[in-house]
Amino acid sequence: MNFALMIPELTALMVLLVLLLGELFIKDFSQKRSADASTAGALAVLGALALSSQNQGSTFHGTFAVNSLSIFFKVFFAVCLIPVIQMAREFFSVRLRSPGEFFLTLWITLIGLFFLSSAHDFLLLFIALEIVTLSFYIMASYLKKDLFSIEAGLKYLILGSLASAFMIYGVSLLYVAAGTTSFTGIREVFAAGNAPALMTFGLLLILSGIAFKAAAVPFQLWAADVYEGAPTPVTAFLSSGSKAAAFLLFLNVLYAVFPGYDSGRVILFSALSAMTLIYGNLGALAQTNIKRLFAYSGISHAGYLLMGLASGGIRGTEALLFYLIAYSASTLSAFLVMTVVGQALGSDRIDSYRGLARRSPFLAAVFFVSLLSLAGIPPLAGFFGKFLILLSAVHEGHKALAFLGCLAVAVSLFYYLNLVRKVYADEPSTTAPVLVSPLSKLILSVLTAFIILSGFWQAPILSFASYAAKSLF
Amino acid sequence: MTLLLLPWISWLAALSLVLIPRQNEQLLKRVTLAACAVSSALVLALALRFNVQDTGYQFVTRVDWLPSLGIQYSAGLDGLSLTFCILHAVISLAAVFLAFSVRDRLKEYLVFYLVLTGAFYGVFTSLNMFFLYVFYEMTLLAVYPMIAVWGSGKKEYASIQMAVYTGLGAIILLFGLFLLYQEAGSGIFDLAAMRENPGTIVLPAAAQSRIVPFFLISLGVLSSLWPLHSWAPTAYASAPASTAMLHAGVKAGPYLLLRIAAAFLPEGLKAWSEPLAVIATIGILYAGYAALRQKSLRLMFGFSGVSHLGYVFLGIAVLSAASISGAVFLVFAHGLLTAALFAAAGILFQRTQKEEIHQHGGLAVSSPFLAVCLIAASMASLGMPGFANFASELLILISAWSAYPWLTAFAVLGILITSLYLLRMIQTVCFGAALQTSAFTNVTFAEKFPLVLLLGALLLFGIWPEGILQFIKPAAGALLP
Repeated sequence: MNFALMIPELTALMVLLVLLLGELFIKDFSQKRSADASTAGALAVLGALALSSQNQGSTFHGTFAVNSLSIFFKVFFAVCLIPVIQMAREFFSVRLRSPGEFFLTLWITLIGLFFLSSAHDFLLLFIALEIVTLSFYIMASYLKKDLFSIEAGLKYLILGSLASAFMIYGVSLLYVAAGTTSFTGIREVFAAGNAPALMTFGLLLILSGIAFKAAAVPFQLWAADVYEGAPTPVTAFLSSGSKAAAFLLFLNVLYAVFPGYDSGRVILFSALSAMTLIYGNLGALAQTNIKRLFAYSGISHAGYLLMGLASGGIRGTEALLFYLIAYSASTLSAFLVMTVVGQALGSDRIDSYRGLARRSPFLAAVFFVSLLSLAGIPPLAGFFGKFLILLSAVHEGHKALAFLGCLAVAVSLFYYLNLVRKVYADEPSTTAPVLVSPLSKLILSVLTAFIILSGFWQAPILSFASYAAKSLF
Repeated sequence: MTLLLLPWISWLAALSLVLIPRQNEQLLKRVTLAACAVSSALVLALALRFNVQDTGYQFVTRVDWLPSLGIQYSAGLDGLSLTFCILHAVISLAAVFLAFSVRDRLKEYLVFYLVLTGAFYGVFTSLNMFFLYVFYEMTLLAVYPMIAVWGSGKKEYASIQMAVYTGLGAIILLFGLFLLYQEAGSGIFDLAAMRENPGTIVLPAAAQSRIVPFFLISLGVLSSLWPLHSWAPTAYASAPASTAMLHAGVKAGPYLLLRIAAAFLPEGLKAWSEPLAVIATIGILYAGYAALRQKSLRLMFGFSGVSHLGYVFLGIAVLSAASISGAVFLVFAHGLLTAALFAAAGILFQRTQKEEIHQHGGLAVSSPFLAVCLIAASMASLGMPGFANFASELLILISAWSAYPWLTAFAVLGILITSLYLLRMIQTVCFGAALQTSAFTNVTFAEKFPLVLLLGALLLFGIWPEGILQFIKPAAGALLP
């Protein structure tokens, strides 16, 4: 057993333990210190990741593997956690007495995500995924007295269980066909061509389970209601961390386990991508609640990520990973703004964003940058992500799909700019300023600077993405 | 290094504006003006040092950016891009004075103004198609809020229409670039390398004519060519004066068409030149007629711009060195003119809050200066010798005559229509009963300077066309294989 490979996971467990003990023994811990301790913990985990990045390999009989892809995703999840913690701090400062359990659940989610990144065995993968999903059920319905929140949790639970059932059925079929659940074992059996029909069926079941997490059409039904009802920090983590986890699984299953499934992958993911793009963009046009709008916009972004899978290869994967970072940075920045505004205004209606620029020029400017990045306007990060995705699609000969992606950009401009217009051009009903706490201001500034910088100076992020993609090819 | 820094003068100034408190308007204005003046002076210095004998790129600077994708951050100037740089230098320096007249949230407006100014410099100096595109679409990031927030009239409708149209145009352009990239192999993003090694990108004529429509449609939208123009008049009619001056005056669409399509897809462009010439001519007449029917002053100028753009595309469709020189010269001259017209219209609107032509009157009495400027600009627009427009339109029509005699005959008709609506407008606005004398008691230096600068440049290059044609002609000749 090589525990050196698990230093980041062990660090995260330590943080969880500290939070738990603090909750038990320190007075007012959950109210005053749990957010700080979580932020410090996230930084510690990032430090552990940086220090142990040279330790690569596998342990526990090959079920747990650390490679550049898993490091990429662990860094990604830990970084995403920091703005989410800040959102939770802002969100629960008013609504709930004790956010302590929330932070505990958040850390359990992170540990689940870490194991998911390193799982090289379908059994471990399933368990890690269930840890993540179960904690999301809890977090989505965390506002016990809010009917929407309970509805969100319940919907996510029922539909999510269905997806999990698909997945475990698929895994069992693979076990029947291959006699093992390990990635390498199944890969060898599939490459040898034994029982291809059974294995393909199992693969399709697993892929549809993952597509549920990614909110890809036609597995998207839960997204809008859950996004709307869940507490805003949870929505933010669903649309960044959970979505990223789905694409991590897609990458692992498609390239590390079933690299031979090439022609099927192209057809399947082209179709998924096209449907997701069309549905997400058209759906977003009609929304009046900002969290629902972001649910649909999140679906449409999943369409671009799926396009990266349809293109495939190292270029498509690099593009996908860059897009994921750009999209998550922009989304998290937007959600942090939405949390602050939602707290101040007590409403998530798009109309309540009227004239935000007069009430807080800072929030308006940050929101402007993140929305335009999501719309794919250069020189922001979102543009370069779209550029890479579309370029790789054209490069692989999927011209019609790329053209559809181009048209979708124009549609998305409409609803993003509509929001910009509300923020900047409309007059507010009251001019009372919206206050931003210094820490939120700092995090928003860093995210905005990142969005602008990485859109123009793309090399560092792109090389991180290609470092991660290399381990698959 | 200087050329790469040219757009950054404006962008760094924009960044520093963010840090200046909004109450300190004097400092905000000074920094903005300084950035525009320094950039314009730099362009002038480059023009003076430019070697007109050399048809290649000059002042070339390159920085490796993303080698795996063939993307370099590079800048250079040839005669064509220098012409557009000079145009932008003049207009941005003129428009900045009117940008100062924005009352509400001046700080944000000036930030966007500087982002826009820098982006245009980036477009005209970039040697790499990736950055060319990035800077071009960046203009949208600035123009949309400039119209949506600081515009007037139907600003919300106009701005979202403009954004969706131009956003769609831009993304189709990107798709066209991808097709070019894919057909021609990597390395295609570098304009200078492509010109130096023409062998690297010889596409079969069939492939070229498949790709060219994407460029024609996207750049047609972006430069408001009939029938893809409908966003432009409404947007410019609602925009603040300085935004309309920059965006309507500095037309990057024809530049991109010449830079990319004419240079690297000549066969394809030739295959589509006849329909393009027909569309351009219909555009001249249709938009001229539409201008004739407008009641609003700025809508009329907007349609007038669409109509004159028809001549530019007619010149490009003829695809001879002389006609392309004429087209570029016309973009230059008409850009100055459009900026002057929108400046005058903007001042009129700001002082009277009256949009329609018949609501104005007697400007010659109430403000002789504005009246003279409006008359001079109109005379230039309807092709009076002595102004640069005359020389450029003549160049286009003469070279178009041999290729498309019938179309040219119709195109000449457009000049007649222009004189109809402009003379009628002058009659109402400048003469007639004086309606708002009190509104024009103190026309300030900030209002006079842009008009004097623009009309002065128009007159200078009308009398001395060689001053600008010396840059255009060799470049136009070198553009065609």
